[in-house]
Amino acid sequence: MTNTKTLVSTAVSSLMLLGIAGTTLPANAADMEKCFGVAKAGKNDCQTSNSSCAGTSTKDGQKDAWLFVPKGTCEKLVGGTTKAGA
Amino acid sequence: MASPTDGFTAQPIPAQAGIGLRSEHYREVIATRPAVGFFEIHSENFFGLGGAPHQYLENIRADYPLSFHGVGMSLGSVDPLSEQHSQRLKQLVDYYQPDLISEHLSWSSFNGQYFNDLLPVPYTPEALTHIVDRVQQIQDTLQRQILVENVSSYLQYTHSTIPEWEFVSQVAQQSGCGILLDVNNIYVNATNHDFDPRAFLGGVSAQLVKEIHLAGHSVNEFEDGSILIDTHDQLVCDEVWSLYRDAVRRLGPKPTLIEWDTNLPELAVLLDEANTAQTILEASHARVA
Amino acid sequence: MPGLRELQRAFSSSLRSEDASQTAAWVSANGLNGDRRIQIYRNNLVVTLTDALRSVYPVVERLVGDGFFRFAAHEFIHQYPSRHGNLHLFGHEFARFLSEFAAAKGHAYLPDVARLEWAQHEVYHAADHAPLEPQSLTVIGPDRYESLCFALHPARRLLHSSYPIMRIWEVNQAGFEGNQAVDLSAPGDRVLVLRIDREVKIHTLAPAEYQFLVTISNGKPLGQAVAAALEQDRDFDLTRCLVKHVQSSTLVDFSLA
Repeated sequence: MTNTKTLVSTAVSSLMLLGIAGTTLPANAADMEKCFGVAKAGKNDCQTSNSSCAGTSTKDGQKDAWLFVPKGTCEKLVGGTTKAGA
Repeated sequence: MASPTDGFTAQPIPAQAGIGLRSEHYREVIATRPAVGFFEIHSENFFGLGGAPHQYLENIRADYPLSFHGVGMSLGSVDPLSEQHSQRLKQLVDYYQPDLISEHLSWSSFNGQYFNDLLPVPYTPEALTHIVDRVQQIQDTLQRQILVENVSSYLQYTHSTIPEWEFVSQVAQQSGCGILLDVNNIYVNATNHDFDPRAFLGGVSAQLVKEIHLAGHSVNEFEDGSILIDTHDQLVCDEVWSLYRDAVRRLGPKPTLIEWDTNLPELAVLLDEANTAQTILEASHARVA
Repeated sequence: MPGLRELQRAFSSSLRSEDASQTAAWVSANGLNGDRRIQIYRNNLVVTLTDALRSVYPVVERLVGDGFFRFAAHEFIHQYPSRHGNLHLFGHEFARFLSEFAAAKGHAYLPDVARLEWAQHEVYHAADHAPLEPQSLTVIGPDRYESLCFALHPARRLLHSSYPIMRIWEVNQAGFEGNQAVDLSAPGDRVLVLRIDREVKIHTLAPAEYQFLVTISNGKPLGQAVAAALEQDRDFDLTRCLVKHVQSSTLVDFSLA
């Protein structure tokens, strides 16, 4: 078993060196994990207006049977669908 | 958002045209600094504690006065006012020091469930007393005057006994708040409920009106009739411009906002609309001078 | 003539159900009848809240398609009504709803995709925080290092899925070109959702690094977090991990256990 105390001591000491010369540690291969950027614009702005669809139907049109089946890009997901969620 | 202790200093909104600030336009507004009198935000869009919205707003607030327009206070509801909501609004008001703070004369929640819509109140003495009390509570919390806005509605209650304009005026007179007069909402209601929009204009006192809103609406047709819906998704129509000219003539020049929420166009389109309002305001200033 | 409370009770229930007769009786019917008028408000409610969900969950929407999304949103809105005047707080139970939603049963990865999107939404709006100044650690004696507790930046969320949610997320971004096929039996992802400058980003994490950060975020001291990480990976590089997450402002405050 690795000595946790030694690991911690080395790590915290290295951390404190950072402040001194703006030191950065060299990246190793394991640093190459993927990074995904998201262009989130906070688009669900609160609105004071009404939807133009507000009055367009007498029923809200949610009862059509064809809607009950997912029909998007999920059709391109294959295998393992019965695996339990995390 | 930095701590409220290093907030902004108050900056009055001139009787000029402004536009609603929407997230799609943050970058362009910051880059181009358009010549408008003020920007109005929806208060709730800045209820988050930090990040991009506040960075943009701080940047814009440094150069422009602001107006805060609330969507979710549910003034007319019989539910207690949300303490959490009022307190967050107060923090934002203390920090950004908007010159105007407004809420809608409507209700949007019952029994803790929110409909996130501007539902109509009946114009009755009971509702009037209730709303006056709520406005005073909010003004006490904020330690500021607020404005209340007349909303578009798609129905009238048979037991309403007070004309809408009188109800709005009474709320202001009895609570000490001001009026945010939405000229498009007057037009929409006048058409939907068959009254003369000029009667509304004639029924409010010039001193109580602190701001005017302008927006576009849509017409929805049904087999048994049509109705105007306050969609904020298009240009201000000619009839509303004409009503606005009358409003400015009667009430004097007031800070005027172009509101656009859905199918948001290029910033330039909003600036064009603001320009039209500005021209009407300037003509009125000239008359006054 | 109804009092304000009675009116709002009846109106609210007219918005939740198809039966508006009670409210309609109090509404004048010149032109359009009362039912039609209330239907405008009922539809507006569904459209407003569906649009709010759509803006938080664009990947879920792409995965299931517009029709199913509207159906799911409609059911969700009635099961988990909005509780705030601030629309940004609406929809956090969507992942839980999807995990219980019979019509989505064959798509067990959907709740995790929804969790990822809600995490991004929260991170976008979360508070700012100053970075940790490493020099401030000099007040701590080396014998206390193992008892150091670090706090995560408010704009950070950790997630673990048994599905390849990053691949699912990536191929469903607007503008993604290439093969959209995803092998659901591929290894699951551990991710850190974070905000750098104004932008929300997602970093995938190695199992030990994830375990380390989760333990820290649960308020456990450094010694315990290291032990938990080493259980995942005997070669866990603590120095690299600690420096990286302090430098990227994921770890921003410290105290002693």
